[in-house]
Amino acid sequence: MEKKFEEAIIELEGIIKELESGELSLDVSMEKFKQGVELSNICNKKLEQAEKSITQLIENTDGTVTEEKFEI
Amino acid sequence: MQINPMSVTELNKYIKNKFAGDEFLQNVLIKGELSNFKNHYTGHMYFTLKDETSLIKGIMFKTYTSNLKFVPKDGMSVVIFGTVSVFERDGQYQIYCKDMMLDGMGALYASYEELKNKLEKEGLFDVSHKKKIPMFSDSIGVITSQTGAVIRDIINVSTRRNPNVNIKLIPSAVQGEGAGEKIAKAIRKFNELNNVDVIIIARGGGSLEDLWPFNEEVVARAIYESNLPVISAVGHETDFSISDFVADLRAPTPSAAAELAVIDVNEAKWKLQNYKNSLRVLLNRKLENMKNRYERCKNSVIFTNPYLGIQNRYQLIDRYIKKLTYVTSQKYNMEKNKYTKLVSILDSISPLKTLERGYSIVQNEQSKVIKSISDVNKGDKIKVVLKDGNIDAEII
Repeated sequence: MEKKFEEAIIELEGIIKELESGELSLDVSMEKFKQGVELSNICNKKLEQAEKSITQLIENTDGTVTEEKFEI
Repeated sequence: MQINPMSVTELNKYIKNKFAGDEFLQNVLIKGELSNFKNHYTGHMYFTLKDETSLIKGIMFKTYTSNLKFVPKDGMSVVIFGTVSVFERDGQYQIYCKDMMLDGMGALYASYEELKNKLEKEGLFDVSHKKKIPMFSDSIGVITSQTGAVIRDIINVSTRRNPNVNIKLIPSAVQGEGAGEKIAKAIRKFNELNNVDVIIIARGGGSLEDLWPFNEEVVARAIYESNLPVISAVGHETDFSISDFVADLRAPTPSAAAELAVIDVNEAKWKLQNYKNSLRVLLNRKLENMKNRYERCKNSVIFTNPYLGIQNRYQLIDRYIKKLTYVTSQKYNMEKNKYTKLVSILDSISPLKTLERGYSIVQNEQSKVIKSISDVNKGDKIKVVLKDGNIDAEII
């Protein structure tokens, strides 16, 4: 299961806080840095991959739903 | 045929005169429910007075409003005293209100309060039940009328914040009979399809009656039962509908709802970039810190001059030797001085000194000092010791 945007950003904020404390070992710092960059890339991708669509859902008589492009 | 039409103005003037001529219309007492109440900045109040089947426009001029004992609000049942007359410009008759009294709470307002209390007791407004609105939603579900400003505002605000936003609309009536049921059904539909991350139910401003579907129990329950988080945006900032209380989040207006549901992509990207920079800066700081510590170790004397310890000890030995030499020579000099002093004392008391002053010592042949005349006889050889030598002589 791919990480959700806010999970990723919360994790990212946590990593920055840890790094800010300066108490991590160098190895762990490097590891956290790598994780942080990955997380920010995940977030960025999420922001970019959405595809614009504005639709309206129309319920058919048989209960199924048709999705149509919505124009104002 | 000669036609001689009258102007609209003339007609309205005629009708106005008819009204003015009617004794009964000059002083009427009517009761009804206030709606569309507007306190205009000029100080005049505009409103609609209505009952179940009919309505009349009303105005209360500033001269009269200062006598009011209460602040009129939509939904209030009031009794009005005034004159019915025609507003010529619009061809509309209306009540020109001179006084207004409160006639108990409006029926709608009372039932609103009743339902609100009931649901509150049941726990439908509990904060603990409220779901978090996702920070970033792939899809936004909107329930509102497919025409009008509300959906337009939502689309505008949403696409401005995130040009790639995904909006799904389930069109619904938002006022009138059956609207509440439709809204509730749409909420359940979104839950069934589970194709959005958050639901917005929205409606523009209106009278208490217009907003009524959002005060219906069926809507409140559908919101409460929804697994998807619901944002309620009904009417203006000052309107509070029951859906606002049940919803996971209340937005003061539909535009505000869009702002709460849709992330501002640029802002989020900017934030992410900042985070990335922080990561880099923090790692660099760590590296720098480690490097400094390494440098400090490397520059330690242990590495830069491993023989220092030995050198220090050499120095110590040298110092000891120096000290030893010094102490010894001190001692030597002291003794030497003592000796010199003694010698000079010795010198001053030496008989040789007396010889210097011109005295002499007389000795016999055995070098014994002759201290008395009785010590010598005629013919004895004697030695006279002077400062610079001896004179050998004979006693005559």
